[in-house]
Amino acid sequence: MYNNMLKLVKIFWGILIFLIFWQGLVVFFKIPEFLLPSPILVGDVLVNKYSILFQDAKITGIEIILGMIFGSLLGIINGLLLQIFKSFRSVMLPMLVVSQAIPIYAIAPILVLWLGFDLAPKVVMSTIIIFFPVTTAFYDGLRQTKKGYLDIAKTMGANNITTLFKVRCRSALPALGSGLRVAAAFAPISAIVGEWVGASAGLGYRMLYSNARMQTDDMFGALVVLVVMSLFLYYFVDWLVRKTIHWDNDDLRKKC
Amino acid sequence: MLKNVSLKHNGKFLFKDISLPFKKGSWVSILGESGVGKSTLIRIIAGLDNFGHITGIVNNNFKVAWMGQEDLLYPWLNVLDNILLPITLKNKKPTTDEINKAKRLLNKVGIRNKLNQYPNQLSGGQKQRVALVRTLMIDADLILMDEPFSALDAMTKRDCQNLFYEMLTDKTVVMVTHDVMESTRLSDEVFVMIGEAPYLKKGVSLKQPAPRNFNSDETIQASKKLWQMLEKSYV
Repeated sequence: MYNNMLKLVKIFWGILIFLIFWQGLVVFFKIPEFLLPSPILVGDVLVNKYSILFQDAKITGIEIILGMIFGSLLGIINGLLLQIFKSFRSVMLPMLVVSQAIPIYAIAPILVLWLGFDLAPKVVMSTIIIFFPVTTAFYDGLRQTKKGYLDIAKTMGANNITTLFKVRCRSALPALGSGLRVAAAFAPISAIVGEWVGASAGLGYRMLYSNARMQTDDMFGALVVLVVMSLFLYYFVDWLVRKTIHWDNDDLRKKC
Repeated sequence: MLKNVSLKHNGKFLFKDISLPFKKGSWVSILGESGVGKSTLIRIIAGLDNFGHITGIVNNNFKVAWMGQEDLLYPWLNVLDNILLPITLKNKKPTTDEINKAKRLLNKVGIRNKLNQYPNQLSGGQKQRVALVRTLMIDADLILMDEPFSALDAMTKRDCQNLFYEMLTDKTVVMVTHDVMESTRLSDEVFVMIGEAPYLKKGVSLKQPAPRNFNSDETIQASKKLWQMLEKSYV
């Protein structure tokens, strides 16, 4: 608890020093605000354009969350299928690699063309990006279940399905957790790129819109909101994973 | 029992003509250097390994329990749930009787208060005790142990050996070990696994009640003989 407080204080000081440095830079070099708005100006945007930013954040947030949910579910199902069916494995594994070789940002315009300017193409983008790290992490975990755990299950007469769900899946949870963390870091990026390609609302749209009109302070405002949302998502997933996988906590702390 | 069991893999005998009686209520040890194939032998009896070409008679037509070199507790389950695994892994719900049995056994090995703790909160010796209780829940006719004490420090090892012996006194046990002292301390009979194509050679029978002192005449004589057999096999 005390350590956590200390950590927070340190982070707070870090941010404060960064802001002062930024403000100093702008004032000292007389940087025009359309190039680099001062933190005070950005703060002003955050306060005064609160309702617009909130509307945009809501839309982007929904895209991110839906992408997280669908991507994770798809990744978990895919990982399970890879583990269960050998024939599926031989077809799917190369396809997975190929799918990652396609720059997803390049197919974003096609997705917009197919699915319109609304939520759908962004959620699909996030899903495509997220399901890969979740699949590989979970499948790795399932595959690398300690042999001794499987031996125990075998000598105790567990059948294949029981072994899969009660032994492999459980022992793969820490690996799945790592995959979900990576997914949480990717999710906001994919939603934003989706919005850049074609959208009429959302933080990504707001950034492009402001940028085009030299309203750089608005753009920074949207960026700050996005950063806060991303951090929140990451730490929420991290917390959830730790809470669920309490037996592996020492290990996780080292990874972070 | 095993009768003239051989295992051939890639044209090489991993072991040859192995015969081993399972005498009810007796503790048999198989002694041998690392890598000689002791573990493989009992894994085959346990039905765990299924590779190569096996000839001979492996009669494992009875309930077998197997303990590995590590405790192999599932880290995501607490002590009680780990102990109930022989039931839950068969997709059955533990009965009150079974839960009570688990608690009684835990009490007997002296860790009744650890019921709700997780393996990572236990010491090495405590984990090994939980693993023992889990093995006892199986009600097996034959208990196979693969160097069950090798991961423990000297004092804990001694305590665990005593405890295991006490808890397994009416069970049929086959233990694999590379520790001469351990084998003479606990077993009624010791076999030595030696040779180019390893086979089992009868080592010693011990009569005094176990767990025996390492400096009794019987264990000293037995150790001497076992050492001689092992050393000869090196040349």
